[in-house]
Amino acid sequence: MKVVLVGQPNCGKSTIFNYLSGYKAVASNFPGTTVKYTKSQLYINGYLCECVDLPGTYSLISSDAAEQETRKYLLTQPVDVIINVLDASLLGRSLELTLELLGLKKPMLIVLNMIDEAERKGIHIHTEKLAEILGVPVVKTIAYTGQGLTDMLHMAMKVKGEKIIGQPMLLSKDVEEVVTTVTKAVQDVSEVLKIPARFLALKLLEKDPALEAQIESIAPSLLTQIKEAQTHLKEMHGRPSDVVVSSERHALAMNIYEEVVEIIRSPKQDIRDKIDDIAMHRIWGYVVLALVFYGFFTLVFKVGSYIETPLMALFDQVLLKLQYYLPPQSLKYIVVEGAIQGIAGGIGIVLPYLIPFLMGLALLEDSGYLPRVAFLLDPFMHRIGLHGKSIIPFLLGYGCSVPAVMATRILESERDRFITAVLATLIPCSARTVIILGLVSYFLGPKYALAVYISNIIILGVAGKILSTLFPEVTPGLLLEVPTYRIPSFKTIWFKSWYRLKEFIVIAWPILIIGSIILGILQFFHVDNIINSLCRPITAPLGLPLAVGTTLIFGILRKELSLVMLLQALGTKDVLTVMTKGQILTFTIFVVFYIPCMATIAALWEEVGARKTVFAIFFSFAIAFILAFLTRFLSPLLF
Amino acid sequence: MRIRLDAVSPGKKVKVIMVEGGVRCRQCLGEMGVYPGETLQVIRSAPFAGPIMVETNGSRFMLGRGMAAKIIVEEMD
Repeated sequence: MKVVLVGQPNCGKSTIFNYLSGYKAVASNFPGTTVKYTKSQLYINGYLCECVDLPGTYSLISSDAAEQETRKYLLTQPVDVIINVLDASLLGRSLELTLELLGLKKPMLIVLNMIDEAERKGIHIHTEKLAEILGVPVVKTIAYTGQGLTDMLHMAMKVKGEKIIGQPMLLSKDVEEVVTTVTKAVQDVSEVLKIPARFLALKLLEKDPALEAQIESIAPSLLTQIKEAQTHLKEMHGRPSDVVVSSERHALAMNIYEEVVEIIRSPKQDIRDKIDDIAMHRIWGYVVLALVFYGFFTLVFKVGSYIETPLMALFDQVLLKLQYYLPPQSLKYIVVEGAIQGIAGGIGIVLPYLIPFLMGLALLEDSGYLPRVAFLLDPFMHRIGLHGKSIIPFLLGYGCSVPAVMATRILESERDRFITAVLATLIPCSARTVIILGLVSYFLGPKYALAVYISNIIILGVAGKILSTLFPEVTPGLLLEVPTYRIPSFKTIWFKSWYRLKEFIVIAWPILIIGSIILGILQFFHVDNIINSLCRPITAPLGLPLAVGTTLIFGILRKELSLVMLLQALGTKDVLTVMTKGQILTFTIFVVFYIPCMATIAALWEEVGARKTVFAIFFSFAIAFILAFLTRFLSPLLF
Repeated sequence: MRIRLDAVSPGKKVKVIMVEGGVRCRQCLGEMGVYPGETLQVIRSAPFAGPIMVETNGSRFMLGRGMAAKIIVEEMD
């Protein structure tokens, strides 16, 4: 049995999914967290079920890339039960999607999630009445506590067993006549496309571009007929046909809302609205923004350096002891040393910064603050030819470039997606944060680390300006729902951080250890010299020690490798004895900007295609080289 | 008096008369609940000609000035 979760953005689908599957999807408090569907298998009453969490979508008309994914899935994949999740506190609007879903004629179940939030607003929903009107069962849930979810699963089994598909809603008489005519006309085509005829007819009257194109390729004469029907509707109502149909659906949803909802009392004064009076204020908003991010990075640095120093000292001791047991300069010693340095790199450098960083990011995401940042920074994003929504991929980029590149799917235009994806890869991800904190902050002082971040933002602006000049096109503009603030539960913060940390422990750490051993062996046989001299065209103009060449190559595999390998390649933990402060800064600047890591390249490839990925690689390399070159000659002024 | 939504000052309630712009734009705004006849309240606006925040039927969303200018509204008392 295959069950899919469908609903509008930020209604809690992923929270339900996580509750059912154990933590397998990332849930956040902003619209569009899920941009790709996630699958999981679970048992209900002993039956093996496949549960799919689809990206949130406001309607089934093709819109942004993430929403299209949902539509495509529903129209092409076999689905046994649709679980339509609704934010009960926004019932009226959420019902519009429900009405569209009913048109698919699949077994369906309505889940009124966040029922507590609705009650806080003073809204009581009569579920029996709603079930009666729509013809499908209705279940109340509170996803984050798990309330009602068992009921939901049992009901899903029942819906499947009894094939409860509900009843399509009729529109007003004159519109319904046109719909019926078109439905008859598309009957044959609908069988070819395997889309219910009435659903197809409605979408065509709504001028769905994807379906219009499909019809044009199979039955061009039919399209003319449909265009005539569109014009007919327009003449009858004095509005374009798409507005006629969607307004009808809107009115229908509002009517159902009126019928099933009882306002018990006026909504309680919500302190959360007051927060926005400050957090989104014309002046205070920016002060809060600065404080939040200053606080965030200071905390990460404080926690990280507090743990890093004693841990690194411990590993140095272990390495010293090792020399008693194994002769230094022997291959065995080199291999063991490499392994220990790899482990040490993970425990001592990466983890202390990564854990507080990921938890802080999860906290920001779940609180609902990110869309507010989009609001405040939208005007600045327009300066670089984008709009406020791009801020969300950018902020995710501070965590990891891969989800950042994937999050560009929440943007509407392809050009915005491309520019945002390229810029997001230039943002120092947590791996590069480790390098900035572990190298610049540790050896040059936190002020310099802050300067690296600030200059990164300035460069991002310049790079954005360059890209939007190269690819001129007017951005469609910002349109984003503002979610209610929520106090994130410790459990979800922990699960989410762990989910992301696991990726480091399972994939990156082994690579780090193996890479470290390989570098040791390369050094033992002096092969690294060959790589280093191949990298001379880069390292020489930047005035860097030749030995860093290998670390730059390894850095493309995983950015964390650059730092750990650097320490190993130079043969000391006290970098200042072999590199000047200027060289450390130059190296860091270069590493922050140059070529995205393998995983990011793969993500870019999938999102923007091969040609643009190659462009992104060269673009980032050029920026890195120019900036590092400037740093080399300007740094003597600083130190 | 008919004006465009971007000219409405924060705190004011307005009624949507019509939405200009292409099919895509109309659809996106419809998804947020902007239909002719609906009531919108402008909650606040961002500085530097930034977006405005609007409430309708209990949900809040932000939209850029360019998009707001495509919504023709009538001020309510």
